[in-house]
Amino acid sequence: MNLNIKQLIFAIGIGFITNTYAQEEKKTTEQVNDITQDDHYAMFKIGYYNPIAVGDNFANEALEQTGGVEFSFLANVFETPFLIGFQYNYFHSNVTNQELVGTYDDSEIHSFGPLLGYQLLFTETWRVTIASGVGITHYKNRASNEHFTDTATTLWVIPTVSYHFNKTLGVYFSGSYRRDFMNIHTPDGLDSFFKSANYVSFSLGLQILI
Amino acid sequence: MLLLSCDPEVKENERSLVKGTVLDFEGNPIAIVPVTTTTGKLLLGEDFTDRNGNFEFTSLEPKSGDLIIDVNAEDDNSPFGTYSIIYSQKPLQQNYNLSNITLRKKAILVFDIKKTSTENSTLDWSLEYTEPFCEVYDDEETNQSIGRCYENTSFSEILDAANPDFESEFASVQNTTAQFTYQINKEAPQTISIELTEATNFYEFEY
Repeated sequence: MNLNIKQLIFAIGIGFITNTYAQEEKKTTEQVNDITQDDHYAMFKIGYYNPIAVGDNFANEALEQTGGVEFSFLANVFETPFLIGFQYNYFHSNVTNQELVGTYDDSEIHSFGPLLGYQLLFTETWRVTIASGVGITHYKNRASNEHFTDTATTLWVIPTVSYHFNKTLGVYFSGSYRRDFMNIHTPDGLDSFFKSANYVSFSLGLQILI
Repeated sequence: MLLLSCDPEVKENERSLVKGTVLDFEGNPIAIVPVTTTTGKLLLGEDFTDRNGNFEFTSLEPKSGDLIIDVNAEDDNSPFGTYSIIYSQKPLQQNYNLSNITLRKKAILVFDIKKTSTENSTLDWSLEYTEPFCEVYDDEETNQSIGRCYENTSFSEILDAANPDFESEFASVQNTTAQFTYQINKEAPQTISIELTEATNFYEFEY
């Protein structure tokens, strides 16, 4: 648990530092390039999504994550640096210890939810955003020919760095923190183990500006 | 086109904890005994006992239907019998603490009846022996456990000229006695006690 709180504070700290630094950088950029306003309306991201479970919970102790995909859309809120949008991501996990979670083979994890972000323009080619949101997550579990679902409420904190080749197309990288607050009912002995799943996620993909 | 709709057998957003200790009849722990939870043919959870006879594992919960906890049911070659507990559907029952479960050692009786007489005789016989398993039903309405545990059962048959011999194996419990009762041509019935002291016991009867 301590590790997870440290990770969350670290992620927020990174976001704050990059925010502060970027504001200073922005002033410089504005002075040099006279960029006072983002000249795009919205951005799309699509890419590879690789969460790694951390902490003392079922996702870390009994599941092994494989990669997935993510898609997000963020639009400018009027002429402010704030962004609003949504994201969807999917990844797959194999069950490595059925004794801890029950007898099923694997999970397909789908998440969807709104995002609120803040955008910083470093230069015309580099930009940094930080976004956060709360969404819903479905763990679609498969046991032989049987399927059942565990659900969760998910919190994301997603700082992103992107490099743009031109006004439309770029690549991005993000290392985000994610916590799934599970709705699984358990007896007291299993309560903390199934209460939440924590992930540090890495993403890489294309960013399109319109 | 036939469309089949099957509801999931597994309850969503639910997990159970199953734990206990497996002992032999003398109170010694038994290691590496398989313990499973099932509903219908669907496996919900499984574990093996450790060196102290303890097991503890997470199980999925059945959406409808019984949850069956089987101890040593998967291992036909085990020297021990089996123990099953059948729970009827119980909402919010998630903690299955079974405490101590006693398994008794199995005894196989290789039982052979041969007709050696040339007379046209009839043998009416029965064998009463102890079953090597325990089945407990957890009754939801009375909140009491009922079932049959290492109870006596019997097998009987009539042998005649058309079907003069019999050979089979019976699974029973070590250190118990099987009762062989027979009646030749409706004479007075005779009873023979067969002590099952070994893992495999042989008994041959000629008439």
